[in-house]
Amino acid sequence: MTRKDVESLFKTHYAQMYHLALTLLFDEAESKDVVSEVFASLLSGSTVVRADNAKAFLLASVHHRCLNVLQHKQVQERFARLLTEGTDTLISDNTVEEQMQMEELMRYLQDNLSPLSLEIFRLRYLKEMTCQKVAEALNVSRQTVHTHLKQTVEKIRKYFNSNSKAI
Amino acid sequence: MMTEEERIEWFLKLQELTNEREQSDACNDSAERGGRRRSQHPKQLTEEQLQQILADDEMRQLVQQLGFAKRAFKYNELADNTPDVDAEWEKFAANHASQLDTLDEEKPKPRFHAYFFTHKVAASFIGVLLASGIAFAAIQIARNINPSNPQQPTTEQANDKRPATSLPADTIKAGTIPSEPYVFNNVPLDSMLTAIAAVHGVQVEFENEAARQLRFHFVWKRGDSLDRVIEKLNTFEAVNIGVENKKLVVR
Repeated sequence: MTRKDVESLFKTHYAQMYHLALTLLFDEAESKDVVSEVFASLLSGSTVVRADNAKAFLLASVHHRCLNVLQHKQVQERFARLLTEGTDTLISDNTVEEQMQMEELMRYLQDNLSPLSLEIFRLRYLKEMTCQKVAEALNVSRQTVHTHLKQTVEKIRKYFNSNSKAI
Repeated sequence: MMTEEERIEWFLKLQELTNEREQSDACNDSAERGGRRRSQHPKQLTEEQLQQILADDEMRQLVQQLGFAKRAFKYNELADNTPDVDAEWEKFAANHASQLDTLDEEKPKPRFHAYFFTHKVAASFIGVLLASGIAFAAIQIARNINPSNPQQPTTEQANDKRPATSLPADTIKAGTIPSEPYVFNNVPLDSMLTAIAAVHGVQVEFENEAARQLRFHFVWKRGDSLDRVIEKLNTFEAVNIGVENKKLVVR
């Protein structure tokens, strides 16, 4: 493999690999590190990547590395940040199928929840703000934040239970 | 038994608690509040306690489902988070400059080139040195070619073989495993594991279907124990194989 080959793989697949890492780790710096490590491992020459399965290989490598990163985090952090941990979660390896499931869930939530509920969930879990901070940011009471979160969690439960979708 | 509603309440409370504690280090503004919190929860939730809580199937499922929902939210926002690929490449190239240079140096041409330019010759001896230089280069080339000649047939042979079909795995008894290494050259994991498993009398199961088609170059030392072989395979980036009661499970 030459420098040109590495560069071409990098430029073709970087964005997708980074996005996959982001939806598992939620941290930009950590995600970039993971993708960079995958390419660094190619440089050692121990793995040969063929053009026809490069994408699957690179995405599987990212996935594998992310799970490793998650497994090394403390249970408390995983719980507090809702990180999908380890192998018992049965995260699908089929990225396309998984993306469709995520889109479907998102559509369901957008159809069934108020914009405020969605925003509260987003701030609370994606921005990782405390309920108090969310309340201050949206200028509502802490109780309101709690009520909306509860509704959202119930809807998510309902979605999975009614469709008997196992993840 | 907890009702669904109680469980969600409990979950939200637990989360707020772990969150507050994570942040309490950052903002130790009010010792009084911290003291009250400690007295409310005299025992801080330890890793073990949390693990016990999560050992409850319903609770774990709830956390998993919310984790997936969080991923879906993130996925929904990815369009706002497009990386600057060119800049990332520049960064990567700078950090791994020496390795990238080595990749290119492995091509014979630039090395020959470098050889000539690092050995500059004085003008008066140029005729003599050029002649000897050519002779030396010829020896170098001959040396490079010679040792590789006997190797070529063996690698090509390995290349042509499709182990899953060509290896008479069924006929090899465990006691008669030949000890010379077998080279899988660019062979799908699927075929590779089938061959290895047959020799060791175990089954193969793919939980991760995508892994079937991953191709590797792998030297299988057939004298190695199954555990040792799996350990070596697991050093590959994309592979995670476990052994569960006489079955190889690819995750």
